[in-house]
Amino acid sequence: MRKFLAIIVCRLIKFIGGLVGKGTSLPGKFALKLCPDVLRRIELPKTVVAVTGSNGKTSTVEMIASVLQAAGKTVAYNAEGSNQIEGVTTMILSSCTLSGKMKQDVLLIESDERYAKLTFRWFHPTYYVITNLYRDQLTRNGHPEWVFDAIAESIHDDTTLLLNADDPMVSLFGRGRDKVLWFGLDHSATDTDSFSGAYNDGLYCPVCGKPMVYDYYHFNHVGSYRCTACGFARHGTDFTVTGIDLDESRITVNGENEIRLAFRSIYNIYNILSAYAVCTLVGVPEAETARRMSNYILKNGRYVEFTLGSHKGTFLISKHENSISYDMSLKYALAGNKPCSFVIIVDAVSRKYFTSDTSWLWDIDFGQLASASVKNIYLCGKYCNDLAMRFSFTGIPAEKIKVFEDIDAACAELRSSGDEQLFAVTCFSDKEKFMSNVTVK
Amino acid sequence: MEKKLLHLYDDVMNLYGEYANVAVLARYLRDLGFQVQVETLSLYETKDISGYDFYYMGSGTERKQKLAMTQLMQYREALAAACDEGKTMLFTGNSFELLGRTVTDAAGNTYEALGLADFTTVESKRRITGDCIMSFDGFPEPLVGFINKCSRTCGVKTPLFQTEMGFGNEAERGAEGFRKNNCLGTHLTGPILVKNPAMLRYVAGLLGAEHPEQVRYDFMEKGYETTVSELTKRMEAMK
Ligand SMILES: [Zn+2]
Repeated sequence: MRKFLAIIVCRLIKFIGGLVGKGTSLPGKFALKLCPDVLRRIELPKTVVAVTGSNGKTSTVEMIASVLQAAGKTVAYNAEGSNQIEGVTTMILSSCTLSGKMKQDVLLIESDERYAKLTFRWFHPTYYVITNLYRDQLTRNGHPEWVFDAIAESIHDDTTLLLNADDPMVSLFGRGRDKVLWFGLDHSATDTDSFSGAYNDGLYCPVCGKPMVYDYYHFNHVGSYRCTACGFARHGTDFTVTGIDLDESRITVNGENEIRLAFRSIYNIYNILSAYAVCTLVGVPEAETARRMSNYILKNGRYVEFTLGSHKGTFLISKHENSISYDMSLKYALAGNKPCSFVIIVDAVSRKYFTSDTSWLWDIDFGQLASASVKNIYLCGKYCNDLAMRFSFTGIPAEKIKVFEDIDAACAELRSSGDEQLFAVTCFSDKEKFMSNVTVK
Repeated sequence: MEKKLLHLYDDVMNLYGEYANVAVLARYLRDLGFQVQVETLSLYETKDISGYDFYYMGSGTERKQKLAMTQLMQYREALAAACDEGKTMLFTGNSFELLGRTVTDAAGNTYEALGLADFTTVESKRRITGDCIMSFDGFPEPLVGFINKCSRTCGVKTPLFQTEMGFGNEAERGAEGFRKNNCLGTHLTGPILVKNPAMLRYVAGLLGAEHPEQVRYDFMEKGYETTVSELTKRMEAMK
């Protein structure tokens, strides 16, 4: 009876909320008040997939949902920003019958890293993907090991983990555990022998604290590592990117299935690989998965192109307080090796919570931009001065650096001068402040 | 004149961009006319650490802090001597806890620390994070920064700062950090010497700069003004 009431109340609030445009966590919150263990009482689909990690959760979940649906499966999944227990509850109670049965083939959940244990207290995922553990929103999350401990409490024995073998911290979840499937990248031409980045979180073994060595790096501390003391090392993989051809914008998975990329970058490659793994585990044949993923990626994966005066530009979404997402954007922009300028904006550190902390700027490898092909760098927004201080330690000549608190003024200068390629790099929180100045086809 | 700076465990105690503290101090001292030499001590390295003018350590994860602390114990006497001689030392984030007597982790294991003073630290499973404003009797400008810890530090008799907004050693607001001679400890994380021009001048002063105010970095001053203004608004709004 309470379950029924919770379902009704959840949907009623969601309906009213929908009318006034409220978020998706409130209905679940009320439902949980009425019936705290409602999630245990729902009859879930046979397959429950959960995805967590620092970067790429939303992209991965959307990719999985799209491929499964295209392959004829019914999927219930949560949208971005509703990945704590309240949002998950809203989604589940809106997707089940009034008697509490989910008729979909798959329940697919994007889960917040720190609060996953609250959700998975009531039911356990069949497959649990952990994408990566990076320095991400440390003003809220503390640090990657803190997040590791929180995720560890959400893992139960009956779940099969899908782990990123190339990320040392993520691999730790699979240590001494039977039910694990691993995904990762083989050695490829885009790898490097030496570390690059502003800090190295792969220096010491997460098990014993002794030095680790790498055979190669894919990027930052992600690659093929092994401890010099205790035997902890990258695990062999069940799902593998066996070939990367950036000139042709495609990758090969498990030796034979080609997936097209939207652009010449290994950015997003782990999301693609883990989504591929999930889709095939849920029963879509590998070749079909690869074909449907290529379609999806080509349709949805493109960066936003714009024009500003005589400049053609590309908008590269990055996450504030997340240095690896910035490093990836910069690396992608520089790979073209053509004359270009950058617009980098830090105005609101977050759209969800208050902080004025900009320590994370020192973790971004802005030194990459000390390249002859980079013409000017516009540093914009409220925290332009903090950016400028950071850039004064990169070896980039000061005359290339233009500092504008006013984003519109920076855009006005660009509109009236120059015609080189532009790259705009910022977070969702500051995206519109830039995009309102440019023309998108 | 030459100044030798030693960055302790820069490879593991560098969680929030703390390497910038040493980088900006080295630049500042050079711009003030000093010859500056920067060295690091990595986690499993052993070397003679006496004879430096400045010692620095930043923050690490709780596990990395224990690794660093176990290694640091071999330098206990050298660091105590440096402190007694009045050498300038700055420990930020949870490295500050190493100056005390013990650190106890959330599971209840207690680790022995340097023991420059009698205070103790106990970690918990609750994270304490937030933007801070502090005051200091060394200069009139408020300090800005961020606290990111999971511990309470008790028994500090000679604190460094007073917290106006944010968490102190033991509680919301109240006393923060630790000072003994020119050895300064604070839980403030990140590049505090970049965020706080007055603190950079103050540390340079301790290191023998007679007129540190002669060199100013425009972006740093303006960045500080922005953060002070944002945090002051925040503090007013919370009242
Ligand atoms: Zn090891």
